[in-house]
Amino acid sequence: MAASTLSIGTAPQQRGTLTFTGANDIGPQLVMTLTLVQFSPSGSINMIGDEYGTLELTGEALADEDGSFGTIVHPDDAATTPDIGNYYVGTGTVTWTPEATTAVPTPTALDLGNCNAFEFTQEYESLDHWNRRGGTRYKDFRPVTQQSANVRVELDEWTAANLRIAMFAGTAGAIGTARATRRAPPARAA
Amino acid sequence: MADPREAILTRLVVVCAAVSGIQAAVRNRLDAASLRRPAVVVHDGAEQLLDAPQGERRSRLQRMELSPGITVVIRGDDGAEAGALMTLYRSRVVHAVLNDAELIGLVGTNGGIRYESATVALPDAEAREYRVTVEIVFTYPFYLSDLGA
Repeated sequence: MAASTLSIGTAPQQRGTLTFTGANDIGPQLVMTLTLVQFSPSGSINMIGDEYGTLELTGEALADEDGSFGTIVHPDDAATTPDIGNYYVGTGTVTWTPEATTAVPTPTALDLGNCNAFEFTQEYESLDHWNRRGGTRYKDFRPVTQQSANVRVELDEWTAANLRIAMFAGTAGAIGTARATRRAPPARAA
Repeated sequence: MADPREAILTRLVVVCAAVSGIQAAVRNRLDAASLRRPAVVVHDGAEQLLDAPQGERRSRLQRMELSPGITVVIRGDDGAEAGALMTLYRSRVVHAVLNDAELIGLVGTNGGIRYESATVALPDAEAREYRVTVEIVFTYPFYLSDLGA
C-alpha cells in the first residue's frame, strides 16, 4: 500500500459518464445513465466532525446532439398499475467513467462505493404567450426555451479516487489544465 | 417467500447455537435444558413498523424492525472472570449474527442488521450466574402476501 498525493484543483474538468444501477428489493431495479456529466464545486468537505464524513458531488448533466441527458431503463415494460410491486425504495451502486482522453482512450468504470444519495433534477425555462384579444388575458402558448439537468451524489467512502473527483485533483507534480492554460505575465518594460 | 419474521428468528437461534463455545441455544424459554453454560436464550421480542409508502392503507408493503432479545448466560467464579466471559461471548454472537449470509439475505437490500446495545443485568446475591442481553435490530420489507405462504 502506497500513499497517493493529489494536487487539489489541478484537474478542474471532471467530465464523464455517471451510471446508477438499482439493487433494491422494494420496487423495480432501474438503471440510469447520464451520458456526460461535468462536476462542479459543491458543499464544503469537512475534515473534522462528529458524524461520518461525506463527499458531496454536484454536476450538470450535459445533453447530446439529440437533446438527451441520458437514459433510464425499467426492467419490465409490461408493469401495470395498481401493484405494490411498483412502490420504490431505492438502493444501488454508482459508477463513474471518466471521459476518454488521448492519454486514456478507454477509461475503466470506477465504483464510487457506498452512496447516501443520488438525486437527479431537471429544470426548464419557458416563455409564456398571452392572448389579449378579449376582456380577460389568457395564456395560450408556453414553449420550452431551454432545459438543463443536475445531479447530486453523496459519497461516504474516502478513497483517493473519490477525493480526486471531489477536489478536482490531479496527480501531484503533473501540470494540470488550469495551470497549463494560465497566461504568462506581460514582460516588464526596461 | 415465507414470513420473514419467523425465518429470521429461526435462523438467529441456529447461528447462536453454532457460536464457538456456546453449549445450548434455545428460543422463548427461561433457560437452557440442564442449565448448560454458556447458553443463549433468544426471545422473539418486538416487531414494529419503521415506515410505509404514502397512501398505503392496507399494509400490503412496509418496512418493519424486529428486535429479538438475545441473552447470553454464563457461569463465572467471580465478577472479573464473568465480565471477561460476557465480553468474549458478546463479541462472538454479534460477529456471527452480523456476518451470517442467510440473515443478510433475509433482510434484503432495503433492510439491514444493526447492533444496538449490550446490557449486563445485576447479578443475584451469592449467585454465579451472569447475563448479558444483546440487542440486534433486523429491518426488513414486510409483504402482506408472505403471510399466507
